[in-house]
Amino acid sequence: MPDGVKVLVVDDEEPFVDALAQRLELRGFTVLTAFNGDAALAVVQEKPVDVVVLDVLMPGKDGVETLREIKQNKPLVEVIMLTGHATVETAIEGMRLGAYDYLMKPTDTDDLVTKINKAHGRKSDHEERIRQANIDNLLRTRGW
Amino acid sequence: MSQKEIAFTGRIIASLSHEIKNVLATIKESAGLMEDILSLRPETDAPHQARLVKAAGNIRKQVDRGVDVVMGLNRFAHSMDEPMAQIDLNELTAQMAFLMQRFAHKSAIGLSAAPYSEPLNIVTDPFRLEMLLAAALDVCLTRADKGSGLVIQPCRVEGRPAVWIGAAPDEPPDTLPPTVAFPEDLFALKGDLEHLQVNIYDCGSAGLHGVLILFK
Repeated sequence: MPDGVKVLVVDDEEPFVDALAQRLELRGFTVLTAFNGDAALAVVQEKPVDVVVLDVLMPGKDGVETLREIKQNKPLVEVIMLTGHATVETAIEGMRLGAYDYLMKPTDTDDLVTKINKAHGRKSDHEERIRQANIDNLLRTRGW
Repeated sequence: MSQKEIAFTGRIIASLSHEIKNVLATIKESAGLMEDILSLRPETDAPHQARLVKAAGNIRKQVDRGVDVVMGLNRFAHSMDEPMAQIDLNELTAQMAFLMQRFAHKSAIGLSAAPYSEPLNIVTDPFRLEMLLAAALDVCLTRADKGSGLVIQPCRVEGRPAVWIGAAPDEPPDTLPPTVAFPEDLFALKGDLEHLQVNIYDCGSAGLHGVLILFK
């Protein structure tokens, strides 16, 4: 269930972001928005975000550069790249840098929702493994 | 056109088609949002609800159609990027069937692409090869009967990559028939053959309804 999943939508096309954000909210996601790479990084730094939906081609800091910084600062945040036909290779490069997946723009909403949920699932699993490792470590160090 | 002019044309078309796709993406999400909102309370008899749902659905379908067109335009534009590039003939023939669909439709002929069983990669001038294939398709469309079907498909003939444009049910030949000739109605393209390192054969004299473009 998407309830509580925090999604950040990043694209320089403001009307696109606005409509997509409302559609995701109607499906139960909590949605934040940003219209460029720097604004996206600020949101990720200041607020809890589970999944970023990130356009590859943006003026200024592009999608790949933004992805690299997100992964550097918040490695557990999952990123789904939005790409056009001509920038698929860039999106695949993004996956090498740690993006969860990519989608062609315009997106199919059902596909996007599925990928957001899967990306969130991977983040939750990862967080759970870290939590468990911390508990195990604590038990070991205290000799229990 | 010089290569510089071709590259410039391609760059501008690619850029504009990207912008059109952004516009379509916004229209698609906005129409989708309208559908979402209207479906929140489908049981209500709000004025014009059914008509609005239908209109939003039509917008979405037309956007999907527009996206297909603009993707084809974008791929065509990128074929002008480089004077020589590696291409897969399966992708190129599918693209040609898409680009020439309207001309085939006007001639009342069904045009489809049939892929080869494996990738057929060649290094060529993509834009000029598209021009050659378009001209060959034009000739075949002129020759074909109204209501018939035409297939463009990559193949291997005597081990060499080739493109077959033929009327169903004729299949591309495995070997080059001895009696094949250069199609006279493609005479104007003879100058491009050397540049593209291809030969064109009219297989009509061998009893086949089709044209074979064979890479050297």
